[in-house]
Amino acid sequence: MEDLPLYACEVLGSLKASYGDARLVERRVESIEVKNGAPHAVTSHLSRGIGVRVIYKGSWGFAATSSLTKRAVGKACREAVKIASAGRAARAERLELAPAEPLVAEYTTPFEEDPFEVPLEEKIGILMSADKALAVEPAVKVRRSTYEGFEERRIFASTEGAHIRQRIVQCGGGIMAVAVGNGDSQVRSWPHSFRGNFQSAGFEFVRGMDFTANAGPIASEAAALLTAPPLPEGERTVILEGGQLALQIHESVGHPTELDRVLGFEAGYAGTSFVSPEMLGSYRYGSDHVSITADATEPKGLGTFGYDDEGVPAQRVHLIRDGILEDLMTSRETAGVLSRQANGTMRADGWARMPIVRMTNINLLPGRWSFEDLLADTEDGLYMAVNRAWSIDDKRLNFQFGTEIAYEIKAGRLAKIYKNPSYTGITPSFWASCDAVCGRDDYVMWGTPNCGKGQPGQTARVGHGTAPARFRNVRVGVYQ
Amino acid sequence: MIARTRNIAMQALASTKADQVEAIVIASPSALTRFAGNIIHQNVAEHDLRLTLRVAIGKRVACASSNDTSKAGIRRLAGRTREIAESLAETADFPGLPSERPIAQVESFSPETASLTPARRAAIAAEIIEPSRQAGAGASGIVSNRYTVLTVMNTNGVHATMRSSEFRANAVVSKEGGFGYAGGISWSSRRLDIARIGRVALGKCLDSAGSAPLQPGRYAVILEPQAVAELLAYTAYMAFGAQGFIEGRSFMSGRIGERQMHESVSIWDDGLDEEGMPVPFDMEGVPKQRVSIIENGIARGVVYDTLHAAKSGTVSTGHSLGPSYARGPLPTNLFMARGASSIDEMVAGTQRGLLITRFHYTNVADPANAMLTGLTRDGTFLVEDGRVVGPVRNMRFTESMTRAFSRVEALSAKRSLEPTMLGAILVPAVKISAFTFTGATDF
Repeated sequence: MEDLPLYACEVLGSLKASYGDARLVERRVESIEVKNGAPHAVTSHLSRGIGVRVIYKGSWGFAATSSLTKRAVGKACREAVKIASAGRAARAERLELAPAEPLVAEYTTPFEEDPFEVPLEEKIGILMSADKALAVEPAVKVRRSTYEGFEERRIFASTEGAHIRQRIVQCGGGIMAVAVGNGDSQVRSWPHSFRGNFQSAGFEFVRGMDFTANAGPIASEAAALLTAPPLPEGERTVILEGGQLALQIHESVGHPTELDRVLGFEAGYAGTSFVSPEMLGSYRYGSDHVSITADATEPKGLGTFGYDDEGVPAQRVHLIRDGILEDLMTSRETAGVLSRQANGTMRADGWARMPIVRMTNINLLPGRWSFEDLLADTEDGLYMAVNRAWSIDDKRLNFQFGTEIAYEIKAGRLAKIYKNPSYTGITPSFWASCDAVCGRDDYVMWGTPNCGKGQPGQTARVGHGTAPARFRNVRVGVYQ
Repeated sequence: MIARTRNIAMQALASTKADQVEAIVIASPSALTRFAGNIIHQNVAEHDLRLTLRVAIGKRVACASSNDTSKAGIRRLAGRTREIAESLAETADFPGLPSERPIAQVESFSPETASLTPARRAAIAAEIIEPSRQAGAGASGIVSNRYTVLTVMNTNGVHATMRSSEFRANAVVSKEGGFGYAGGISWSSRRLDIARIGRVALGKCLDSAGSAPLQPGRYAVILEPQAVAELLAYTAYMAFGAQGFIEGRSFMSGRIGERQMHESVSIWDDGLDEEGMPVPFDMEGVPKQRVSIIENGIARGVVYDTLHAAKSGTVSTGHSLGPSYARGPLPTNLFMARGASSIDEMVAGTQRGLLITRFHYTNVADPANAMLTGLTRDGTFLVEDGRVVGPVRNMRFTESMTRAFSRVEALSAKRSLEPTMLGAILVPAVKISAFTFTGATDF
């Protein structure tokens, strides 16, 4: 079975394809949710198959099958060529790929404890302990503790001679409390919303999170939010907590700097970008405090790997350096537009999808502040924490985020809390208002395992390294 | 493919030793041709077949799935699922798997649609693109087809199989700062007017060039069906499923029988109506029931699966999304009642307002108040003194859906089937007297 990608490349060669590659992928996912004191959903999923991508007479074709026989793979190769032939009808120009060295290589996520070797009972025990700790607050009516383990084994081969094996291991989880009362419901999560935090790591990452110790405080805050005032409308100084900042980067820096979006490939669905190639090297995207990398080499991120899904090595590139737009995420097809080499950001969702330009780990480089000093330096402001809602326009300019909670900052200290906090802005002016970024001690690699893009839909697992940062004159309290 | 899914389900039931076993087999070959800037840039096909097992040992319940459906693969999956169940504590409120109930026959399969060739999809794409090419505009969109066979069997006698097809086509056309959208979905490619998609998207694009800024605030809005469907899908996600309803997180919680929307608004779910994308049973093999959710503005009910029905002392309405989906049952065949108006009449009756083609990146802002936020996209127009006076730049709305649908002034007689994140929804165009916009973009 492991020879099938090489076999596919042989078949594609015999079919006179000018380029072809094949990815054999086996994905395992284990999910556990403990809800209100009992296992609510315990699931295990296995998906394996092979995807064949081909350039034939200047057009792309892609076919994927879960039948892992030479006969089925041969059929998929022929189908991919047939699809590419049909695509020529509406393509005047032939596509060309930027050169890439065909590599023979292997990569495995560094980890200490294989998440799939930890007994299920032990994982459930950790979640049950957290659930019990969440139950201390009577107003909390829904308690959720979640875990997910993820493993993908990939074998990539191309007609150019590349042959790469990778094993990616990831896991994570989180806890959530929903308080209900007075016709309202309020949620608090830890360490992050939407199932917690995830990293490319072994089970040692989950053990280190200590859900139980953090359960009581978030349960209390969820209950307290029921009687907290809504955040008043105004223009305020805002410190964003790292997890919220991760999503801010994701939506307002990550997606707009994907070159396929810039070139209009996503225009029919997710949209385009306010960024254009002419802006590179001169456009002021943010203040001098804002330096952002696309870094698939940084340990622990969900976008950390050895090689992307067209065999290009993982790289670290500055998208924004000292506030100036410097680079974009590219593929072998799109890099030629910038007269550059592909920077290793082509990623596919499993075996059944064609790779597209994707975020890897999009990180805001840490500054020099400690969180305590940054608070102390803020006379009047808000600390907004943990994402609850997100929305941004189809060119990635006008955004609006809601967080689970906002804390008033008065004279450098956290004070009363507000419910239903929200803030809004326009991407470049928001990033221009950043006047401080916390340092390495407060820097966390956040995992976003649910980034949607493409048609047919693809879900990517991406990372964002952040430390809390401060922004001035932010419009808050958009709705009451 | 039908025989194959049944055989796999039967093998799975026979291979699994447990008190109760459920096998869900779904085969869903699909293909999609994607174009941008008038050229096909992505062209894909996928063949997969997935088996999901749910086993119960007493009240210890587990679920696992695999697309390795060889005999050995099925045995491994059966063993793994049982192993998970054995390691769990009991789920006290597990009501058992459902028993067999009669299932209606529905028409939702077109052999022609299921087997569209790459050449035919390319020809359809070319037909959509052509008006834009001639006008010097750029068209981006998709043409896709899917063939699905679903079998659900369990050891309580459920034995349900269906086949369906799906066809989608759409386009976003752009030129000189203008954008326009048109699209559609059906179980038969013959039911969509392909030429109309290219023509309407181009027309909206040309009409929306040179858009002017508009101050955020409250405006009357005339929502075209795609915009209505988006709001309805997110409202349903927030409030029309039993889980959030039982837990007090839905605006419907404790308010059945109370007025929640304008009396002209009726919303229901009906998996058997062939005007939609019919599906005769859910992922537990339970037959779909028609569920009245909002009737003449009054909250009437939500949808249930077996678990949540048992918790509420009622019966499943056939809305399970499967044992892997932890957020409970949701409606995926929604309908909204028609009115007697038309978009032209709504425009003619509007002193000042906005005509909106569709929304983008809608999301839940505050579920307790049914508050959504999102942006207009691909054709937003100012209406003054009964006529469309010109395009405006895109606007961000932040609005409570119960409040918005309490301000309905008119619904169109004509409805259209629109794809959403919760399946296809048949909706009219709707005029709302006041809708809150909290921001604006500069394009």
